[in-house]
Amino acid sequence: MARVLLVDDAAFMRMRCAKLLTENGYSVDEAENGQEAIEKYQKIKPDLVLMDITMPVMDGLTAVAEIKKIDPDAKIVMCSALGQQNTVMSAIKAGAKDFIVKPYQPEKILSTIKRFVG
Amino acid sequence: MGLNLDASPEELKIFLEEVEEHFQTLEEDLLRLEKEDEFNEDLMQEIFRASHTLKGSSATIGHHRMAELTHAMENVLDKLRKKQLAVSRELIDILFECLDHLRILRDEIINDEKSDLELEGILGKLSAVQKSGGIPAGRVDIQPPSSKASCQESERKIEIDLTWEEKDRIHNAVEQGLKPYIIRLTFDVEPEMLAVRAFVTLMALSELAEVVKSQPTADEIEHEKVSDTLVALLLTEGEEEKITKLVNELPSIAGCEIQLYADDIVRKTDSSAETVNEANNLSEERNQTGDQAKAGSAVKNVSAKKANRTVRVDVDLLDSLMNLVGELVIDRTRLFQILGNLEAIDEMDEISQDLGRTSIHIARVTTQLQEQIMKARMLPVENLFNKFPRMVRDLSQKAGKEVNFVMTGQETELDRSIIEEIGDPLIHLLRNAVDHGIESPEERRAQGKSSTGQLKLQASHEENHIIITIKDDGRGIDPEQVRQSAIKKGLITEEQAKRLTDKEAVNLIFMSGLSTATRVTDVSGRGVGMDVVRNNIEKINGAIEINSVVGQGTEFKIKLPLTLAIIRALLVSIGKSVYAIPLSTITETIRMQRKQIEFVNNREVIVVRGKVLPLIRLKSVFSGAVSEEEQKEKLFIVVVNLAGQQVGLVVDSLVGEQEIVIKSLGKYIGDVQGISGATILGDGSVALIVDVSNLIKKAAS
Repeated sequence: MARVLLVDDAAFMRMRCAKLLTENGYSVDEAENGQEAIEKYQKIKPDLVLMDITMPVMDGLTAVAEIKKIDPDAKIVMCSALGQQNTVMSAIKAGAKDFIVKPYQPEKILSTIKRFVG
Repeated sequence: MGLNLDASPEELKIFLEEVEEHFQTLEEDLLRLEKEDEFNEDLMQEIFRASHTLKGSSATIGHHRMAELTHAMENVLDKLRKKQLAVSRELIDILFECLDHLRILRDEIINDEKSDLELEGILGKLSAVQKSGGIPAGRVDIQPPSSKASCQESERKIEIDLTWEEKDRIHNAVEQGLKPYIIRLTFDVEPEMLAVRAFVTLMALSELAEVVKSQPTADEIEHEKVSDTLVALLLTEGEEEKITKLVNELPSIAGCEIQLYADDIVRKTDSSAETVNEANNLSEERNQTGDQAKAGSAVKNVSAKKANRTVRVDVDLLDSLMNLVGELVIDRTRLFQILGNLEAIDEMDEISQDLGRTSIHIARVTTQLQEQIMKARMLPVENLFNKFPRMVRDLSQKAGKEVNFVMTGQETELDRSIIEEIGDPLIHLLRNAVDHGIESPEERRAQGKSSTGQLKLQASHEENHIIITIKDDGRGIDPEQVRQSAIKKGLITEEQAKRLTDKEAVNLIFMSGLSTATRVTDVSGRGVGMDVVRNNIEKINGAIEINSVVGQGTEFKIKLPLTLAIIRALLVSIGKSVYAIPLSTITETIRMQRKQIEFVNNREVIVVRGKVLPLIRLKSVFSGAVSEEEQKEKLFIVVVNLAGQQVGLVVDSLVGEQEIVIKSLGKYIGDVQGISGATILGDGSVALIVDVSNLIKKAAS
């Protein structure tokens, strides 16, 4: 079972996403910000990270760079809102694999994840 | 009409909680933003984040209007964050207006009904502000277009310009057994995200094959020189099938054409066409799984995990719990009384002693239960205070005053029913302070004060009470002015006015019909007056006191009980009945001889430590006139005090102090003058609770 680390500061978004993923057979861990994401990444080595961009403490962009330092093979998908194109571009250049745009469409999330972890 | 939101009730609950948090953050931060002179990056980021998260969440549940507004807000906030816009009062006003609108949109969710709120106005303002600072950003497209990749064979030749070197590279590669494909993809994606989508797609293609050339190039994509089409020339060892498979997996691709690249021919093999069809089927299948997932999520709401250790309880349930505890408190008192009787009759036998011990234990548990349930009903006053900073800001702006509003003790807890009752009086007092209390900046400077007025709202715990004070350093209340106003309105005679001490005169503002404001303003001086404020506070067994010094400011001190249901009271007897007087109103009890009573204006008074105290005989209030013979030589007087007014209540004897549970008299009996309720005593008899404020008013008239 593939493990997905869900990083978002909004509990509502995490809850929604986690539900979708667990229902589709993924094991889900959650983190509230970039800092926590790094800590959890090291501990559980997830197969994929879904990373929000705008978060307190440490934003998603910084977290991508940090995680990539720890594990160059990390698979990270950015969760972006409209209007964050430049940040997403930077994240992709920093090593994120892809991005999905909020509001999430279940099919899109699932197909994106499937592409990377099967 | 319902909103048809895409969220389960469980999710909505969390959504609403978070929304409320973000509103609070926005409100507090916007106020701070306005105050701070220097650019505060952290603060700006926090505001931006709150608005941004609201946008994401609201779009997710499908509240399009909320998403639209937060998106527009975010555009402005982004400019602020990047210092492309400067903070101005107008801007803050607009952002506050947004917040008000957002609250209405939030209420739409709670009521599951669309409001008639129009967003055009505010959206126009936001975009005007945003444009004033630079280039406008694209409009939000909330409904993301659905994407379905489907590769098609193309009859037209896909063109791409190649340099000689590139053509050479292809030539060499073909000789080495690689196949050149040219692929044209059209994207179906939010226009704002087009560039990054194209970039990701190009990256994915390059993982599978060598990208000899693309149009636009990676560099151009990075600089957002994109259209919705991407053409790329690929070299790969594998089959076309591999590429189509990848394209089918990539999101947001609406169309895909693929051809074997050749300088002179445009041809496709039959086998590759079949593969494409297969791929089409595949993508359809995937969509079906998606639908199934959707259906599944609707059914399996329950599985969401929760770390929350709180339970939401209906207020009614808390009320009825409190009521039941009240009954227990009564029984506790009764048990003690029965025990006392047993002890009095005889030496206690084994069984009686056992009963005694059990009673004591039950009493202790009851007391703890009572405390715990009272705690469960407590809320920090913060919930109430939170809306005040914004209110004071708006008021002072309207009145042209400069006010520094400080709140302390927000964590102080109060029974929720009291919090509900105290809101309006506090709003009224704060309005008064801003409008009448604090002077205009010019006036303040003329008096040698700083031009900014201080307004302080403080809550604190004091013994068994909560004290809320509202203090300003404004002009204070002029007792002389109040006297004149009261005379003019015919509330008191000139004679009476002269006899009033300054403090008593100031207290006149609590009389109905009196307003010292020489002019009625937009803010206060109309509608409910101070009399309503006092009535509301006294209704919940509270008391209000004024300390005012002309030129230096006014302080209102509100004393509130911790709970409405159980109070401490002094039991007194009048004839055969027992009455309860709330302890919070009592200053002292005195024993006096009948001959010490004097008469002023044909009314009974006594002199206590040089002060004249009007007397009220409870017996004559409650059971009609008192005959001469009935009068005793020794009198017990309970001195009660409300809002600075003192009255002596004459009773037959004092019974004792006790915790009583307030019960209403019920609709059947209705309102009785001088009685605010009833309670059940230890022996099962009923005692009436004296309505002290009513009696004092009666004595004054």
